[in-house]
Amino acid sequence: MPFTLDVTLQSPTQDPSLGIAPTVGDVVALVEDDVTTRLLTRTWLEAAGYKVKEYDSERAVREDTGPAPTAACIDLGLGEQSGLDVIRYLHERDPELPTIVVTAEREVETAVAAMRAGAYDYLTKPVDRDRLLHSVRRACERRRLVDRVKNLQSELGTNPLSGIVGSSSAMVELSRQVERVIESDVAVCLLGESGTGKELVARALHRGGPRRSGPFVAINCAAIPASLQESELFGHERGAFTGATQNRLGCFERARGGTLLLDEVGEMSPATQAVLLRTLQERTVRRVGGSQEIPVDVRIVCATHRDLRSEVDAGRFREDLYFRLVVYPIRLPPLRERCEDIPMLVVHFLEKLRTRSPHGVRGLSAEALDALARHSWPGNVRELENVIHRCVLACRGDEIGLADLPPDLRATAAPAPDATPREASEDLLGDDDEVVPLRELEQRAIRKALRLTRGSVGRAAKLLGIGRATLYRRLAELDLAPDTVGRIVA
Amino acid sequence: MTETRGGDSGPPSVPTLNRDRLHDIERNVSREFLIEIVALFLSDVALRLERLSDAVKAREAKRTTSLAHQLQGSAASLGVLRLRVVAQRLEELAEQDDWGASDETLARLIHEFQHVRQALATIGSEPLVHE
Repeated sequence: MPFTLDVTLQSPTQDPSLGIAPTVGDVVALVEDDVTTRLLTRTWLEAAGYKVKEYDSERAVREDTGPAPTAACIDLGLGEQSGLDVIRYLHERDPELPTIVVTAEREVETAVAAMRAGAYDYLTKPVDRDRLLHSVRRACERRRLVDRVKNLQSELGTNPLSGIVGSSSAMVELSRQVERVIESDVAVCLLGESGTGKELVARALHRGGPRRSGPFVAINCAAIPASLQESELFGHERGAFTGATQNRLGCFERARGGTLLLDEVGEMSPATQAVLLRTLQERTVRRVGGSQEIPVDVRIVCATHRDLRSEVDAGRFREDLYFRLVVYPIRLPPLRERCEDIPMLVVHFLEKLRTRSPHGVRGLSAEALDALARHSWPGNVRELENVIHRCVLACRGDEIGLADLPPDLRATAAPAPDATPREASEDLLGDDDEVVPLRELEQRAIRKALRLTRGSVGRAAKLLGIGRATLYRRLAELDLAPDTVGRIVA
Repeated sequence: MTETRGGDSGPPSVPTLNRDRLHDIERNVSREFLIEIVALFLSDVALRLERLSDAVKAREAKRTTSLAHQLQGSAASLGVLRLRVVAQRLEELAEQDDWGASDETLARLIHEFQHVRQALATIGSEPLVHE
């Protein structure tokens, strides 16, 4: 044999004539069982500037627990295994991964099946270098585009604080505190009752900070059983426990390069607290059932409705973890302490719900607003949003009135000065133990229709499902005048 | 397509090598790389042919078709055209359980491989890309 076997392969340099410029860090997974084809393909990709991770079998792919690649190039004829299985597995792990399949010329039907299974492109053997690099470049570009769109969607609104609504002194102070730490990586702990907007503030910290291009991942520790907390946070390896049929990334790995919100961190089990502390100290995670230490670079924001200091004193929360997590506490005021923000919040929610409003609700009557201001709002801003949502669905006109509010809120409303008790209540059917006579029911329905239409007989008749002449006749019979009805009720 | 003809083991219309393919590899990467990958190919195919012979002797259709199929892919990557065609024929015959013809085709494949070794040996002594 005239040629030497132990030739040292020179470091390939990027070919400038290709006009192909992969982004630094683009990693291509190459799944190919033929050693010659694998070496050739890898060399072409590396010469073009890509990092390549090689796999010679489906098993090798499944055994790799490292970070997901930017794109994958998969031989469909993996010996007796099916390349389709590899595609499905990779898509389970990362649904947005663009996969390029390589097939023999006479396997076009398999290529079609691969495209149906979600493959991005296909190439036939022998693979043409320029075609390969063109396809990989497009796949990586697509991946970046998808990631960019996702990030933009999460960044909607250029002002990171735009979602925090309110002009009360409490909210001005909150905004100030958020701005103070938004550019840093300091551990922020958001303290506030349920529904005060802790996740909203955490998202603002993410959107306004240097990690805005990375993912934002939130986990509610209270919603996950203690036995599953570790797996959710740190991931697990296949076979780590019954039901762990495949490797799974935890929140820390999914939030790599971004922000992780540990919501209701006070509900975390003691065992998970210990693992979390170690993770924060080492800045690495070890999946449940795994032995590999995986580096993670994540900003941690935690939130709780509990007094964490008291939890530490009571021995339910680790003090060392407390000092790691609560470097900069921010208190979110309950809604009852900032009632002056309610009108602004209502406008914000009406705007948000505009497309879901069947009748184009534009505002709220003074009485309804007064009732909202009198409420104690135990569920805070989330409760207010839910109330407005219900009102928008219930409201038949363009303005939410007292009658559109839920009964418990109506009960807190001050009765109109010139209304009779009966008129103040707009519930057509009365209380559960009350039977309203039909004549009275009819009167109430007519009153309500005229109120909602501001005395327009034509529109009120339409709402009631009767003719205009019929409504005039009924008004006369019931001794009601449209203008009087409108004035009393409106 | 630059062709290298010779031998009588494959269809006469198909050249032994697609030298344009080898030329592209040398031009796009390096001569040293071409030499390395050719060496890898020859050692890998030699191993595969041994396994293929065992599979044919054992009349194992599934294993024979799989190995013949892999051989095609490997040959296609380096532009070893006629070996690829003969391997494809062997795959078809094994699928049909035609073992008489499979034995003959395996012999042709081994013969063609010897021819490929000789053809590729010249790569070590003369550059494909002339400055």
